Parts: sequence; C-alpha cells; structure tokens
Amino acid sequence: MSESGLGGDQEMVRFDLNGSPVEIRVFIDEPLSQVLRRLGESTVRESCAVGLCGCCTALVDGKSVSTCLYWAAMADGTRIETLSGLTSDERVTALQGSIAKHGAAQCGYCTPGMVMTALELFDAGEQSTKEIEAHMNGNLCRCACYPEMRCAIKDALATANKSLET
Amino acid sequence: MTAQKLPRDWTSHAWERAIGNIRYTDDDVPRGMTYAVLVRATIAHGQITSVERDLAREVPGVLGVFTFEDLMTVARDGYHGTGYRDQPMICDGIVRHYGEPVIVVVATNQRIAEYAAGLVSVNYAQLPVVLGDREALANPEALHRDVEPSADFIDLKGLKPLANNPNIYVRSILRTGDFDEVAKSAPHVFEHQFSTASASAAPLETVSSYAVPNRDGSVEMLTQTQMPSYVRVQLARMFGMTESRIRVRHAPLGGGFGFKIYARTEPIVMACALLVGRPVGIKFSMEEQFYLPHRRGTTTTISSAVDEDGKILARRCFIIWNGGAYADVGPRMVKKGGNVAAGPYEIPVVDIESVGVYSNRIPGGAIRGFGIPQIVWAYETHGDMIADSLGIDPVTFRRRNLMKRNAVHHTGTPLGPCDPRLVFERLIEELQSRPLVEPDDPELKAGRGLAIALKAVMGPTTSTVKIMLNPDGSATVHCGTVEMGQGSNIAMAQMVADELNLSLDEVKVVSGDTDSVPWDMGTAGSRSTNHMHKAIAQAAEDLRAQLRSLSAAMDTESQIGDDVDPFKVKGGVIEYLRAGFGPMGATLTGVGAFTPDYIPPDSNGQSERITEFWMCAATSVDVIVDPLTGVVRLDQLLTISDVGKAINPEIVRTQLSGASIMMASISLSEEIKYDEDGQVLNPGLALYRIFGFEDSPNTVYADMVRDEGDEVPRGVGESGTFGVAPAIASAIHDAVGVWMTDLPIKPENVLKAIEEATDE
Ligand code: FES
Ligand code: FES
Repeated sequence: MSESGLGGDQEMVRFDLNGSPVEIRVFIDEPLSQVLRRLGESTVRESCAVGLCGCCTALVDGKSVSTCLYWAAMADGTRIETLSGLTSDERVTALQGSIAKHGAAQCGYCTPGMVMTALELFDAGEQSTKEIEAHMNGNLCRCACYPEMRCAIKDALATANKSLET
Repeated sequence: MTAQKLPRDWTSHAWERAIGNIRYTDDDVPRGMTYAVLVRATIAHGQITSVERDLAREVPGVLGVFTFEDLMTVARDGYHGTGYRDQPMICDGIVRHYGEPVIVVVATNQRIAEYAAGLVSVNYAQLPVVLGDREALANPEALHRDVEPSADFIDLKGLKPLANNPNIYVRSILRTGDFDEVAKSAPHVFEHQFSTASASAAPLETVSSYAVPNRDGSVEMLTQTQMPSYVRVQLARMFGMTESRIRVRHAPLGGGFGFKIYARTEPIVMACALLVGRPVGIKFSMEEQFYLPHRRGTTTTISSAVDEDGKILARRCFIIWNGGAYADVGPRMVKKGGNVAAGPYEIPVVDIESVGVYSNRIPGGAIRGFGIPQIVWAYETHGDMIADSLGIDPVTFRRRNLMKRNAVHHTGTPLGPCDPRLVFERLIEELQSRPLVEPDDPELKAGRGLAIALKAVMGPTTSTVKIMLNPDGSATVHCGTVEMGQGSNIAMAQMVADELNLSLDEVKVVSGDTDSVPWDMGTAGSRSTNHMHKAIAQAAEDLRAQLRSLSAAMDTESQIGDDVDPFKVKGGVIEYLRAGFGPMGATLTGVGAFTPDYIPPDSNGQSERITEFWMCAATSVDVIVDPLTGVVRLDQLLTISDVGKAINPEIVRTQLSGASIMMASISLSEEIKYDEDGQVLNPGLALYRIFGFEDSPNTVYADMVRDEGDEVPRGVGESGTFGVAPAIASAIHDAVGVWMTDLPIKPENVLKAIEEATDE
C-alpha cells in the first residue's frame, strides 16, 4: 500500500448507473459493491464478500454479477443496473408481486440479490424447479425462504410465458 | 421508487423487502463516521506480555490505538454479561479465546484502520488450552477469577461460582425421584451419549454498531440489536451515565436468530467515541462475525429405565454445555435446557443435571431455539434407539409416553393450553397423505423419521407499550419489538387494530428508538409477541377508561359506562375526544405493561410457575441416503407447531419453514472447527457451508394447531427448529439402519457407520 496505507492507488472510472452517467474515483483494489454503496445503492449489499451469497448482485452490461468480486476499476465504460434502477421493468415487478404473494422474504436482506439473479431466467423460457434451483444456487438466504422463493420465481415465469403466448 | 401502492396486509412484509424499500442499519450511517477495527488474538489462551503500537499510531488518519486500559479511562465498569459480569469490552490482559479482540484501532476510514491494525504487534505468554466438553468439565483451573454474578434477571438470582470445580459456572438440577432405585428393578435400562458441535448464526447482514457522541455529553447509538432497551441499560451502567442520555436506535435487522442479543460491539464503539470525541463505528465482515457467540456445543448422557411395553419409568440426563470463554447467555440456557431435558413425556422419575463450563472456545451464545435443539437431539434420538431395541415403532412409542392434555410438566408447572398429543396426532395425520418417496436410483435409500419437543418461553421479563390515539381515532403505537424478518411490525399493527377496532391502514407502529419507545426486554426466546399482546390489551383498556371519562362531558345519552367498548361505538372515539378537548380533539395515550408471574424453583428444580407458557412442535423428515457416499439429502420436511393464536398464519408458516430448514443446515452441514491449539479453522462462508436452494428439501410444509378457545399468541420463531436433527437421524436409521449420535451428521460419519454395520 502506498502513501503510508492511505488506501493505495486510485483511478477515475466512468460508467452508466441505472441510466445516468457516473464518474467516480475508486481504489484500484476496491470492489464494485463498495463503490455502488458509496453511490447510495442500498439494494446492493455486501455479506460474504467472497462471491458465495449473491447479496451484492447487480447487472453489468445486462449480466448478473457478484459485485463483491468485481473490481470497480474494471467497470469503466460499462452499463450497470441495480434493483433501484429497474422499478418499471415488468419482469421485476412481476417477481416482486410474486414474492409478496408467496411470502418469500423474511428479513429481506437477500431479496434484492435474489430478484437480480432471477431476472436472467426470463430469457430462458419455461423452467423446471431443478433448473430454477441450479440457477439460484449462488444466492443464499439465512432465513431459508427457499421453498417460497422457488414458488415465487416459478409463478412469475409462468405468468410471463403465458403473456408471451397470448 | 415504484408508483404502486404498498399493500397493507401480510403480503406487504415481503413486498417491502422485494422492492428494496427497507433501510438497514448500514444504509443510514451517521455523518462524520470514523471506523474501529479490532486486532484479534492469534492464540486461544495466554497473557498479553507486550503491545507494540507506535507504527500504527503514526499512520496518517489514525485517531487512536487502544488497549483495554485505555477504554477503561472512559468507562466505569468494563465488564458485561447477563449471568456473570465476566466479559470485558475487549481482552483485559488474559486472552481466553482465539480471535478475541485485544486492541482497537480507530481511524478516519475503514481502510486506514485495517492497514494500521496490521502494524500492531502483540506478544503473549501462552497458557494451556482447554477445548473439549469433558476436558473443560474436568479442568481444575478456573478460566475466570472473582467474577461477580449480575442481578439482571430474576431467574438468574443466586448464581454463585461453584467452589468444588471453579470452571463450572452454573449447575442446574431437576429431580423428582431416585433414578437408580427405579432402574434396579426395571426390565430394561438404556444409556446413550450424544454430542453437538458449535455453529454460527451467520445472519447475512453482518453486525455493525455506530456511536455518536454529542457535545452535551450524551451519546446516540445506532446498532443492530434484538434488545435495544437492554443495550441502553448496560451502556448506562458501564459508562456511568443516566439512561436518558443514551439513545439507542436500530433499523429492521437483516437476520437476528438470537445472535444480536445483549451487549456485543456497542460498549467498544461507545468507549472509542468518548475517547476520540467523534462518531465511531464498527462493521464486521462475515468472517469476523464468526468470533461472536456461537450455538454452544454439548455432550449429553441420557439413560432411561423402561418397561416391556416401552413405557418410560425413569430418565436421567447429564448435560455439559461448552460455554467457551465467557458465560454470556449460558446460565439461563443451562437451566432452561436442563428443565426440559426429559422431553414432553410422562415420566414418574426424572433426574437431570445440567452444567455450564468455561473453555477456550469462542463464547457460547444462542441460535434459534436457545439450546433446546441440542437437548431434543439427545432425548428424541435416545427414544428412537430404545423403541428400535424393543421392536416398537416410533409412533407407538411416543403415543405410549407423551404427556396428556392438561398435564403437569416435570418442573411442576402445568402445560396450560399446550397439548403435545394434539401436535403429534396432527403430524401423523399429515403424514398419512404423504407416502415416502421411492428414489429413482435403486442404490439410494429413503427413510422417514419424526420428533417432538417442548420448550418454555424465556424467563420472566417485561414488555411495555404506548398507544397514542390520534384526534381522528387512528393510532400510533410505540412498541419495542424488533423487526428482524418475523413480520412483527405487521403483527403488532394487527393486534392493535383488533383491540381498537381499526383497519390496518389506520395503525402505525413506531419502533427502533429508545428515546420514544418504552421498555421491551427484547425480541428473543419467542417472548415478544405474547408479552406485547398482553401489554397491548392493557393499553387498550387504559384508553377505554379514558374515553369513558371523556364521554362524561357529553349529554347523558352519549355517555358510556363500563359495559360499553368505546371503540365499538360508531364514530364514538372522535366524539369523546372532542367532548374532552374541543373541536380538534387531542391525543390520548394509553400504556400497558406485562410481566409474567414467576415462582423460583426449589433445590430440586420444582416450581408451580416456572414459565409463562409452553411451546410444542413436531417435525418429520424424509431423507434419501446414498450408502456409497454417506450423503444425506432431504426430500420432505414437515413441521407442526402449537403457536397459540397465529396473528398472521401465512407469515407464521414461513417462519416455521425457514426455522426448520436453517436447523437442517446446522444438523447436516455446519460445524465451527478448531485445531488443537484452539484456532478457529473456518470462519466465514467459504469454509463453513450453509444450505442453499439445492440443499433445501423438495417439499417443505408447516402448519399450526391449537387448543380450542386458545386466543393468545405464543412463540413462533424457534419452534420450527426443535426436532429437526433427531428426525433426520431417525430417518437415516430408517433408510440405512445406522444410528448417528454426533451433530452435524457428516457424510463421512454416515459412511463409516454403514461400513461398520456391514462388517459386523
Ligand atoms: S457479498 Fe458478494 S456474493 Fe456475497
Ligand atoms: S430473507 Fe433473510 S436472508 Fe433471505
């Protein structure tokens, strides 16, 4: 660490956050999760910090990413979306409604990350329970809302597929 | 945010969380925060001989590098603990467990503090390390000297360090007769031994606390706690301040599970804030969080004398609770666990000894169930092993022995409306329509097991509530129950709405601030909803009385007497308020307080009133075992619980289900590992694996039963955990014919047991 430990080298990065351009100075070893929280993105949460729990999930160029493992410096030039930027996305609101209906959130700490990871399933068409579990396995929930979340996702996907057909 | 209006029913709990509308503690860190980072002990037992901190102090941005003595310059008492004041804010010179904080570094930001912490070096003179349950019991050396019992709780009065073995901090006895006498003439006597490992609650929202000193000397604390009122009492005592000068705030918790109770990091940040005169916070990583109290490990020896039909004639239990370096909740857990160690069974003679011992492990705390799951693990597996030996099926065995409706428990306290048979029969009924799965692969073996358990609520403690009746008749409730995922804010609003005849939209719950919310002992031990329910009823009664006297100013026809509920009179409330205060009305405040009656047990552990209420739950598990690998998968997990009146049945079901899966994870996968020097080998989620989607049972079902006419809510958060581990063990036996007696049930141990059984 240089400068007597004051935090090491910094770099300026620019990215698009939920549709608005952002320019921010980051430490070169700073994870994107921490930078997003500095920017006030409270639905991005750091828990395990080693890529295992999914609480910090955001979309980088449309792909779900564990932002605790993603260097902020590498986000230069990307398009980043968090839950707070997707309020009018129909897939998101469908999932949220379904989570409410199934009671699939207890403490709720993991829930935004779950929604962000589940989004990708909408492009995959009909999914079996096993496929949903496999896709979601990187999102942990200590309150263990797994059965409710499984149903909530399944329901939301089924509704979305039905509306595609009609 | 979203334009959609929030629904106001039970679904709004999950909805608010799904849209990210909940702000947690770390989302609103007070301005100007500086950060404390802890330097932790790299040994498990020893004396600090020297500390080298000059390098750290020189780092620009460092505000202080503090030892225990430094913190003591602003504290009046540097120790806390609910049974014994044995826990120093940070290490007091003797390290008693690996990872114990020894030095605090405060800096203008976390990065600097972390960097500087790495420059501190501490030297130790090592002392012998004691880790195992039996070693700790036999240890002639006291880990603590001159520890004062604290008088915080009425049920912990009279604690004394035990003279004959100074390493035992509490010994609890429950005795209704002479076991040996019965065993002498009994047709069968069985004895088994069971163990449980330490486990961590690991809430995904990792612990944080933030202290802000004000210019007038008062302090504001924002912290993740299940016990804001108690935290304030402890801080006031430790820092010699009046409670009015300490404000404890909290946000909804991202998981509590009994982990965020009592004083934890709060005294440290408070001391640092007073020392540097600036806001100081601590934010733990997941890894660091593993150095906070664990679910304690246990060794239980249990013996039963039974007749030819499997009727239990007498039972003896000896339980060692490995409490780690500090007693923490230990004294209470040892007593409460001991009280119910014979199970929900009619047994004429029980003889239970439950002891809490110090060791050089991380302190033992509580996780969901407060020690009861460890106890149930022993007596339910023991019961099934007996039934197996006698050739009786587990259902018949339980039917022969379960306590009956209106029974009196071994402690001498009646079960009240809690009926174990009702719970058990509901489970059996549910199982009838659910045949055991047939694995697709013929190599795999399926099996089914079940278990039932009883628990008393947390000892006698108080809940108070304040209901402000607004001029328009709506209500604002000040209630100290902590929202941590159980849906308490909605439940409290519903209980008030029911009493005051309002819609849910007309009730607002205010919590999270000791400046405005009156005392509640804490949201733990399944106590809060029940106690608040009673306090709310009292506050509503208080309001009714006030409204009746306000109506005295009206004409005789409109006046109401004691026989009329003012909340049931259409448009009445507003009129009474106007009659009393003029056309704009005014606020009326009703208060309620509830403390259960309690009779301390005699020297044999007997009391007619040892608990306010009992909880009973039964669990059944279907497993699929791979005999070639020992891997156990869960196919089905059922929970039936007697929770009294469920305020929100849907939320109660998710609580029961979540608790049961969490306990399945602890039973099959979770173990804090120590090496022989006491070093913790697997802090954090990388090496300590908790259940995910794919580990969860294929089918999870939870439901409630209650005695007819029982209109009082009882505990919910814990009961789903009670019987999970023994039900799994019993299911494994059903599948592959081996008994597992150590938790967690690891594949290698299942495999070994299968191989040994085949060799025989
Ligand atoms: S915090 Fe990023 S995956 Fe856990
Ligand atoms: S709802 Fe609590 S961690 Fe998922």
